[in-house]
Amino acid sequence: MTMVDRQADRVLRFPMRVVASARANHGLAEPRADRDHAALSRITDDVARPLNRRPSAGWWAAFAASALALLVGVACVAYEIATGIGVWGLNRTVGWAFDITNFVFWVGIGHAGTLISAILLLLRQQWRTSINRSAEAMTIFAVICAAMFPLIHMGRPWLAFYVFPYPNSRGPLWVNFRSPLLWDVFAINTYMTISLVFWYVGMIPDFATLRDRAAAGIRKTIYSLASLGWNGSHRTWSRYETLNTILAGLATPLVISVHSIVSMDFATSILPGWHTTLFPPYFVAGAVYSGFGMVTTLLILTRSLMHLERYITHRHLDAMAKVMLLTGSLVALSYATEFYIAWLNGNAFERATFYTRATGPFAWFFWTMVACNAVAPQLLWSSRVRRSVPMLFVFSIAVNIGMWLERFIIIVTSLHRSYLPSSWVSYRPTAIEVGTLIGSFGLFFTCFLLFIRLLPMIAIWEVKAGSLASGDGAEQHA
Amino acid sequence: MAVELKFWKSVEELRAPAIGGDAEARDCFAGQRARSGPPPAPSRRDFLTLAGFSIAAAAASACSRGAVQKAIPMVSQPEEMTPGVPNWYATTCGGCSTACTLLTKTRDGRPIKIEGNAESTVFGGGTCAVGQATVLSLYDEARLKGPLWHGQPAAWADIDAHVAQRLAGTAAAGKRVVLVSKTVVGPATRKLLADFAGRPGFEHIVYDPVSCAALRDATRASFGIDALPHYRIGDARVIVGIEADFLGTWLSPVEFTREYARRRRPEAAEGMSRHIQFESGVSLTGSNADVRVTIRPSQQATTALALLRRIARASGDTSLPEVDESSLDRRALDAAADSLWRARGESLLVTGTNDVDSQIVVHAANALLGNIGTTVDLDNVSLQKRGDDAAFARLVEDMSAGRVDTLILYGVNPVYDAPDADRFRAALSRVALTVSFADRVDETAAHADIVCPDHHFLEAWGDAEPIASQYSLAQPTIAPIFDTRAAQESLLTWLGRSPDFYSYLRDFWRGEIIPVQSRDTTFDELWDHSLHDGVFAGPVRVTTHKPLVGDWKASAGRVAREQAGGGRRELDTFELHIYEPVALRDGAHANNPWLQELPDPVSKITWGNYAAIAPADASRLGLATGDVVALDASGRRVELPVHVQPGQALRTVSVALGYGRTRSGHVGDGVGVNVFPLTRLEGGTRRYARTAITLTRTGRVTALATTQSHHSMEGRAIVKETSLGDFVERRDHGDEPDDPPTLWAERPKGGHNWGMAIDLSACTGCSACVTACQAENNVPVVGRDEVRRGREMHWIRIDRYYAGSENSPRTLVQPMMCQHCGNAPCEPVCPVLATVHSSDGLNQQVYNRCIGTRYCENNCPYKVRRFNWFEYARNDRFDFNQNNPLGLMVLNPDVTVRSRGVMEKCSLCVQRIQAGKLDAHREGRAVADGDIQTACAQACPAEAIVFGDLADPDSRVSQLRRAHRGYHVLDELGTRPNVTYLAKVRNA
Repeated sequence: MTMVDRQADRVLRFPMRVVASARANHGLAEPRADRDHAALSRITDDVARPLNRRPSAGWWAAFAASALALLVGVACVAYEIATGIGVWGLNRTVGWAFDITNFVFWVGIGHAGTLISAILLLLRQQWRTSINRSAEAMTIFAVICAAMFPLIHMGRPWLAFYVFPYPNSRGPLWVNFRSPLLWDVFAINTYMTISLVFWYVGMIPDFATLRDRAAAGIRKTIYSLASLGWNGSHRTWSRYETLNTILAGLATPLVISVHSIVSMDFATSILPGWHTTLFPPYFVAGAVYSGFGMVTTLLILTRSLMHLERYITHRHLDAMAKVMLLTGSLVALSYATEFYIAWLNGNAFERATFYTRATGPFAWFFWTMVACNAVAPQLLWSSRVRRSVPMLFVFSIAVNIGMWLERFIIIVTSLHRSYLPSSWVSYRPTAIEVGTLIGSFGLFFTCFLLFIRLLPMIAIWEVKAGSLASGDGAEQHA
Repeated sequence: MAVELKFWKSVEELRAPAIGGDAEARDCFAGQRARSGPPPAPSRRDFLTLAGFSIAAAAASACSRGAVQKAIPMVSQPEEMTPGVPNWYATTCGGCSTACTLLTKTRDGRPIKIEGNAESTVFGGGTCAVGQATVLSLYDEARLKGPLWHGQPAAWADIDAHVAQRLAGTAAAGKRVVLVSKTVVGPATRKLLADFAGRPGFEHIVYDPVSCAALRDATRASFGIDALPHYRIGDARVIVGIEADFLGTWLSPVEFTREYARRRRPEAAEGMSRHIQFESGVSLTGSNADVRVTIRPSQQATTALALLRRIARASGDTSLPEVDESSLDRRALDAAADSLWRARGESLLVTGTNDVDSQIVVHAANALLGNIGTTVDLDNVSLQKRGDDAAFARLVEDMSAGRVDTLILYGVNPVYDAPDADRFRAALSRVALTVSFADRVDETAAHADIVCPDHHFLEAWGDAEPIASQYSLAQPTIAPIFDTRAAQESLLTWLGRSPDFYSYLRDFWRGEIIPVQSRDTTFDELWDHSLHDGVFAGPVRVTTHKPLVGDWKASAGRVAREQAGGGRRELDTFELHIYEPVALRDGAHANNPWLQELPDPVSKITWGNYAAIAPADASRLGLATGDVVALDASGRRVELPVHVQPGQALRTVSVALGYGRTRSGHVGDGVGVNVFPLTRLEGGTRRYARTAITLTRTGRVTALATTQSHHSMEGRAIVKETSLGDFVERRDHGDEPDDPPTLWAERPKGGHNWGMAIDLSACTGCSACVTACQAENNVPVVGRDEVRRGREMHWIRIDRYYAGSENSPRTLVQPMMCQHCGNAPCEPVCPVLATVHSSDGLNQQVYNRCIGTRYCENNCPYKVRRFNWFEYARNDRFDFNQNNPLGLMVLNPDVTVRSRGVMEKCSLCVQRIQAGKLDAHREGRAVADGDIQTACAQACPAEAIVFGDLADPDSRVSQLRRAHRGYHVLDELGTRPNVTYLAKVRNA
């Protein structure tokens, strides 16, 4: 352990911003005082402890609940695929409702993780290091949940491979590159791939740490395989830093592009309420907002479940709250812009759609959404609110609800009352749709709970680097 | 391929000369060769084809075998039948007693589509929705497979022996045999019935559940003619209807619609007609009127009398009795009478009431207007309804008293639809032998001793004379599917004659028809000619003026007295108006899923009847659509869900007949409520209205299965309408709007550009096109629950909007199907290119590519796309016609049956387009305008839908597109639809 720590010390003496100079400096400084050793090894211990111990009762309770939700979802999806989309509440006028709402919801949530791990990395925000791993994991799981929905919402999901432009003998038959749904295919796949690679690559040094700590056996073998023979040498670290930066660079534009493309699912359509160029920035802001909301929820839960208050501190929560304040305000501005533009351009159809949104059958959904997304974040101006963990928790739940409602409102209000009044219908979800939504939460939380049990949920090497770069020990205020 | 093989079964056959004198007659490929020309000499390509095929066959047979399916079962192919090529047979519809002429399309020996017979000068090429749906009732699983005796299958011979013996014994013992039949329009059958019932002790009674007996009695009383007048709607410049749904269900709706629509176009040569309707419930006809005035059912007679008084006064006769007009709309009456008088000789007053005095009053009015001989034709009378309510009532009395020994029921179901059905059922038990010719064990046949199921009209020979001297023939289009027998043949057997109705029919025509014409000299010529054409027009008698005999003033007096003595109505009571709905009519077709799912043209409600009440009454009573109320009519009580109907007369409730069947089959049983028991006899005729009924809420709520829940256009210019004056003015001065600009390059054009023009002035909303499309394109039926969820599958729908006030709205209808947009919003958004644009202007839906993301449905502004939410075929959850082998026989083999998860929509009948192009190509010519007709265009009795090639500037559809009235729906979206609508012009 000491040797490893020394290795780690050697490396982490050089914070990332001076990586280049570190390579030039072949001289290795002496390890610092024992206090530093203790501080750094404590980080490792703290993070690795949950992986070795039996899970707590709280974890088991949460896991049982989410596994149950997942089972409900699996049953609902199986029933729907076997019987037909008719088991949902859709009809000849409303072709999408819960399915695409959930899709956009989960894709949006994923954006926070990528922003935290990639964009904040490029912006050299040190405070991200204790939360970026779980945020990135949240992205992966959110994208998995999201990707499920386009698949199951198809009438014939067994032919889903038709969306891929593979060589065939039917012409060859090409896909429709003008269709936003096809852009989604590429966007989501790209997002998933990059996020997965970035996340995994970020964990390699930590797998190495765990490998070295582990007793011989299955665990050690798995960690050895996962760490890809990491040896912690200079050369490895410098290449690793480059790779990380490149991946972060690749992941950064995804934060903007993926949800812009998802918003094009609506923006390129002809429907009043959908047909607007505002959607890409509006959706991206909303995505970051909802993502940070979900990250906040998860981190508040895990820091208390896993006793990681030292690492996920008030400072982190405060920073995330500020991001939510910003993006929430952007979302509020977008709502106002939509209504203003609808009034300004005088298009009767668009005016009618927005009027229906505010006063029609889904009016209470709409006003709840406004309360959660436009009004509630304004509370975050107060530092008292930002410092109170319970209030932040409640607020983050409200963000999730509000953002889900936003997508639902956008989709269903524009669909159920569009151009020809003869086709106006009411829409009501069925139990299967609700069960599928519950199932997606079940999938997400099951994956996340497994993650915090099986994988290092805080980036050990990054936190260590951060603690050294800050000069003094790793004593951070909880 | 050039080698012809002759097979012989015996030496005799080999040696005997070929029968028919022509060796080719036995060559089974003769028919095919006749169509496609002699086969070319075998070429290298043929050899390779054969070689390839044989190798493939060898390979395939070496592989594991699939199930053997018999695709073409003919060993000896009949010469007129080629697989894949349809045969058309002219026949006559048996869906109701109107007897429209039809052409039936058969494929592989089975009828799959019904069309009108354009040869008919009376009915033209259109049909009604019921006519379109009758092809499905042929393939109804509820039909009896054979005769029943006391509920058990029996042999024909046994039954015949028993019945014949019984009948012989009855006549000898002086007992009575009564044959009750529906109106029989066929002269040969009528003669047979007369033969049958002409013997002592026998009697024939005609019973119509929806009766016009009063009109017949009135015509007899007023003019001495025992028939119904033939109303010539097309000759009328002004039509005033009093509770007469002549466009929907009354007398001859297809003919009337055709005539009516011709004169509703503002470009009509004879000038646009004017239509005023006085009615209580909103009927299809009333919704098309220029002026619609609400009256209560009890005011029908006084309305007629009020009009008669005004007309009489205008003609100088002021002797008519006074009538209290305080409860009537005097101004409307003045205006109507004035219009009628100004157009005298070319006007028409009709009423659908079944009260003799009212009909006499109307006859008098028409006579004073000089309409007899012009719009009221009493020379070529209508024979379409000959029911006698009083005779039927007497029959029930006789049956109850035990005076009837044998009862034969032909095409009637009195246990379901008689005015006092319980009494009739009880009386049945006092009849010693009851024989029913019903095609299924219906409510009456369930109590009959013997059921001898009649053929479906598509399986049977027959003839028809709906209008005097306008004959048509009916021929079988398929051999009888089950062991059924024509009712006529049963009667012939029991008469002791040869059970060959075909010969009887031919003999009748030889005896009665051939002498009255001079076109064909031999009978065989006449027969073949008529059978081919389907129609035969005898010499049309010149219409003459018939003097009004009979005491019409007495009738007027009686009407006046009745109104005066009507007594005070209680304030809290309603009047009940019972009507025949367009889809189910009198309930005979309740087991037809197409008709059950056909949205009512006015209310857009399917799968059940309802109590239509006025919005003001609804708000006063605190009722909303769906609330179940109990209607109490002197002891008889029914519970129905409320439908708030804009335009319904205040304090009236309208309820449709034809529902509430219990033995029609699993589709129709239990759907809706039977209101036939609420009708009653009064003054010898059956009345379909009641006064003093009470309405009470039950507290229950039902969700009505409606296909349209929003009725206002919300200020959007979707159906454009204008008044006649404005139209004429603007046509002369205005210019047409251009297409909105577009960023997109013009599409490369192919040879054709298929499009449509729909004339909203001609369209009445009858929905025949909806059923025709369903039949042609294998559109599935989804059932009540799915319709409630908004998932009906009709490719074409009739949108119906109300404009104006809620209590007297104008009704606007618009057939809406895929607009085949030039800039279709659905095309760019499909990820897999399942919807693309063809070079001839069609927006195509490629079923096998569709993965069902439904973005195209979302992006269609017209919402014309339909998604297959479930597997509708061969699925017990949707146990309609696509879930049994018999029902599957109605499918059109040229159209794919879509699987679950696939989007579908109107294809402009691409299979018909392809067939038309192929025919033209084979004949080496270009496709001519009018060669190809979509199913909806073909079925429309008003000829409101025109299909054609927009690339041809001289085609009718191109001319209509350029017409001043033409516009596109949602033009401003830049979709560039290929469907043009012609704005509705009202004669305000």
